[in-house]
Amino acid sequence: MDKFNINDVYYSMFLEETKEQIEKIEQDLLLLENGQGSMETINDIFRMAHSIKGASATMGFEDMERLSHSLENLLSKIRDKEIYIDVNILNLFFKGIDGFKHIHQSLSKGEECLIDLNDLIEEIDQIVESGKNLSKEQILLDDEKASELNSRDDIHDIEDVELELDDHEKELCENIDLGLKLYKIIIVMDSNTKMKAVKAFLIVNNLMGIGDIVATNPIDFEQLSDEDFENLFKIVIATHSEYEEIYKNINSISEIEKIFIKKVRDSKKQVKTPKNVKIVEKQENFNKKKISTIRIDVNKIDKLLNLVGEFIIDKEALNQIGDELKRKYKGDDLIRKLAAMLPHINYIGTELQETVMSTRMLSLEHIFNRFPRMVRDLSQKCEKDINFVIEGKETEIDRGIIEELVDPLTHILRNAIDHGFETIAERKIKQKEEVGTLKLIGKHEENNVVIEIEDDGKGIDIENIKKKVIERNLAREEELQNLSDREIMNYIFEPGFSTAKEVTDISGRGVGLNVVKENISKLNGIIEIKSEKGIGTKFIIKLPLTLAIIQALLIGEGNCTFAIPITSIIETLRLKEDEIGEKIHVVGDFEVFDWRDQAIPIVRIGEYFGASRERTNKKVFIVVVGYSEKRFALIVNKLLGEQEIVIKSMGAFIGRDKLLGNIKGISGVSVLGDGKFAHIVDIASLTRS
Amino acid sequence: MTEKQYVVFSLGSEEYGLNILKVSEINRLKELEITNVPQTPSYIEGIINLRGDVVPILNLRRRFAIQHKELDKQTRIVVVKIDSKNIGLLVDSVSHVVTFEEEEFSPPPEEMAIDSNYIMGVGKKGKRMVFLLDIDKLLNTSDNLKRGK
Repeated sequence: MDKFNINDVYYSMFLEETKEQIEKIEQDLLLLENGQGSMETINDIFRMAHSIKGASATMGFEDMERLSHSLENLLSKIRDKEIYIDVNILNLFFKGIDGFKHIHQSLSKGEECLIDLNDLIEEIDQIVESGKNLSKEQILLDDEKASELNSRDDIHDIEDVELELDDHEKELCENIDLGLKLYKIIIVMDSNTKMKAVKAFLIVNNLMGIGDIVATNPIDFEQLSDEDFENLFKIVIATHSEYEEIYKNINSISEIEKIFIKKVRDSKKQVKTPKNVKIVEKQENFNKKKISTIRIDVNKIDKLLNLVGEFIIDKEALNQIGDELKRKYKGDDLIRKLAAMLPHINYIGTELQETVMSTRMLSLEHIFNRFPRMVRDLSQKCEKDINFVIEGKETEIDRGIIEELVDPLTHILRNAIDHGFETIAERKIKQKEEVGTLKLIGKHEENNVVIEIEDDGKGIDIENIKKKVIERNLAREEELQNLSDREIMNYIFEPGFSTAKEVTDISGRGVGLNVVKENISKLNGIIEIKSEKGIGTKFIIKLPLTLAIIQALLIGEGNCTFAIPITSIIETLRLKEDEIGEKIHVVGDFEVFDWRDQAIPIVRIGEYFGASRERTNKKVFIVVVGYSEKRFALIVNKLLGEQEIVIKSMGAFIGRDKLLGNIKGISGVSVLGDGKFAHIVDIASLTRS
Repeated sequence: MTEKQYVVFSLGSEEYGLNILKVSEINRLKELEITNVPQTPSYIEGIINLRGDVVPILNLRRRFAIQHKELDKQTRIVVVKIDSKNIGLLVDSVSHVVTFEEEEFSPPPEEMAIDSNYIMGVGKKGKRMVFLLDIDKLLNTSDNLKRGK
C-alpha cells in the first residue's frame, strides 16, 4: 500500500507537522482548562485543526480528516459564542486529540489505524447540532474574565473612573493601525506618593516598550506638581500585547494602588484590511521573517559529530607528533611553521566540536511539554487536585540524553501523583492547602543539567522503609541502625521495592524507581532524594550536558590506559616515601587515606581492574574523586596527563544480558591519539562497591 | 532448491561455516590491536578499533571450551553484523567459501566438540564435514554469561 509508505518524503513531512500541531493543540487545551486561554487560543486551535484537516485530506487519511472536520465545526460554534467552553467540551477535545494521536501512532508505523472513531465523531456532531452545553459551569476565557472584572462594581470609591474612550481620545484613535489593540488604562496612585509626575513618567516610559501611547490624561503630567496631580492617571495605548503583559508592566512600578485596564478595540487586521494594503503587509512580514532555521535529519548531525570525534582524535595525535618533532629537530624552519599552525588547528577543533554539540542541544521543553496532559489525566483518575508547575523548560541538553529521560521522569511524576500526594480529605485534616503543588524544574548548574521533581505531599516515611527492608531481607535491623536516613532512603531504588499498600494500575509494583535509577546512571547521571515526612519529597537528577566528548585525566596501569573524567576529580596529590605510612592506613581489609583530616576509602585502580599488581613504596599518586557526597582516593601508577577524549559507547554490549556482561567500574571507552583505547572509569559504580 | 554460501573457518580439528550474508569482513590479526577489557567474561578477548567503531572480540575457542592455542599468523578476526552491530569472532584460520543446498544438510550429531545447540546443521561435501554455526543464537546471550564466569 502506497499510502503508508513511511519512507516517502511527503509522508514523513506530514507526520512531523501533524505531530507538532497535535502537541500544540493539547497545550492550548490545557491553557483553556486552566482558565488561561483567550479567544486567540481558540483561533489558534482552529488554525491547527484546519491544517490537520487539509493535510490529512491530501494524504487520503479519511478518519483524521473527518475527526478534524467535526472538531472544526465545534470550534466555530465556540468562536461564535453559541457554545461556551466547559469541562465536557474540553474532554471531547482531549478525546479528539487522543484520536489524532492514535492515528498518528499507527501511521508512523506505516499501518492503518484500526480504532473506530465514529462514536466520538457522532458525539461531537451532536453537540454541534444541538448547540447546547451539557454542563453549566462555563470556563471563562481571559478576555471574558477581564471584561467581567471591569464591569464589577468594586470601584465606587473613585467616582470618575471612566473606562470608555472620551470623544477626544476616539478621534486620536481613528488613525491607529487596525492591527493593534487599544486599551484604556486607569491607574490609581497611592495618595501618599511623592513625585507623582516621576511615577507617571516611569509608567509611560515602561509602556512605550510594548506599544504606542495614544493619549494621557493629564496630558502635561510631567510638569505637574504633587498638589496638582490627582491620584488618577489615564492612558490610552495601542499595542499587540494582552492584558497580562500590560498589567505586569505597570505593576512593576511601586506605590500604585489600583490598575484598571479595558480593551476598547481589538485588532481587526485580518477582517478589515483592504486587499492592496495586505500585500504590502505581507512583503514586510516576509522581510522580517527571514528563514533562520531548517530541519535536518538527526542522522546527519550524528554523523557530523562522529567525524568531529575522529578529528579530535587525530588532532591530539597531531599535537603529540608536533611535540616530538619539536624536540627532535629543534630550530628547524618547517617545524617552527608547524608549531605555529597547531594552536590554530586546536582552536578550530574546539570551536567545531562546540558548534556541532550545540546543534544537538534541545531544550527540555521537548519532554516537559508532554507531562501537563499526563498529570491532568492522572490527577483526575486519582481524584487529587494538583497544581503542576513547570520551570526552566528552556534549559538545553544533548538530545541523546533527552530521549532517555522520558521514562524516568514519567515514573517519578506518576509515583508522586499516585502515592506522593494525600487525598483532598487527608490534606484538609493535616491543614495543608487542598491543592497540592507538583514542580518540575530544569536548570543549569556548573557543567550539569539539574532536573528537580518536587511535591508537597506526605513525604517518605523512613520507618516504613526500614520495615520493608527488614521484611524483604535486604538488611538486618542492626545494619540499618548504622545508616543515615539518606542511605536508608536509597533502598527505594532497589528492584521490587515498594511501600505502596496496594498495587494500582498507575504504580506500586516497585519496578519504577529501579528503572529510574538504572536509566539515570546509564546517562552518567546522579539521582538523589530529599524527603521530609508530612512536608514533601524532592527528586534531584543531575546529568552531564553531553555524553560525547569530555575532559579526562589519563592514567597508566600495566598495559592499560584508564581515563578519569575531570568533573569527578577533586584533587590530585603525590605522596613521598615518608608520607605513605603517615597518610595511608589499613583498617581491617580496607585501606583508608587521611585526606584533610577525613578518612576516605582507597581504591587501587590497577588491582581493582586486574591490570597490574605492582606496588611501589617510593612515591604514590593519589587522585581524590567524588560522587555525590562520597569521596574516594584512587591510587594510580602513572599519570599520563589531561586530555579531551571522545567517548565511544559500548552500551550495546554492556549490561546484564549483553555480550560483555556487567562491567563494574567502566562506563565506556575512548580512542586515543595513537588509535589505542582508554577505559573510562565510572566513578559512580566504583564508589558503590 | 535453495543455495546458500558459507564462509568456512577452522577451530581446533573441525571446520565450521558461517552464512556469508552475516559476515561483513575478515581481518588479519596483525593489522589490529586487541585491547583487553577488565572484568569481562573470559571468552571476551577484548575490543578492537575498527575504523573508529568499537568492536568486541569473541574468542570462539574459549567460548566453546576448546583447548587454548597461541594466536599466530593464521589467526583471523571474522566480523559479523548482528542487529546492525559489529562483533568480531577470533578463529584459527579462514579457508574458503562453500555453497550448500539445503537438501545437503543433516542434523548435527549429538556428541561433538562444541555445544550442539549452536549448530544449525551439518553440510557435507564429499568426505568433508562443515558444521554450520547459528550465529544469532550464539550471540544472543543469556547463557553466554554462565559460561564466562
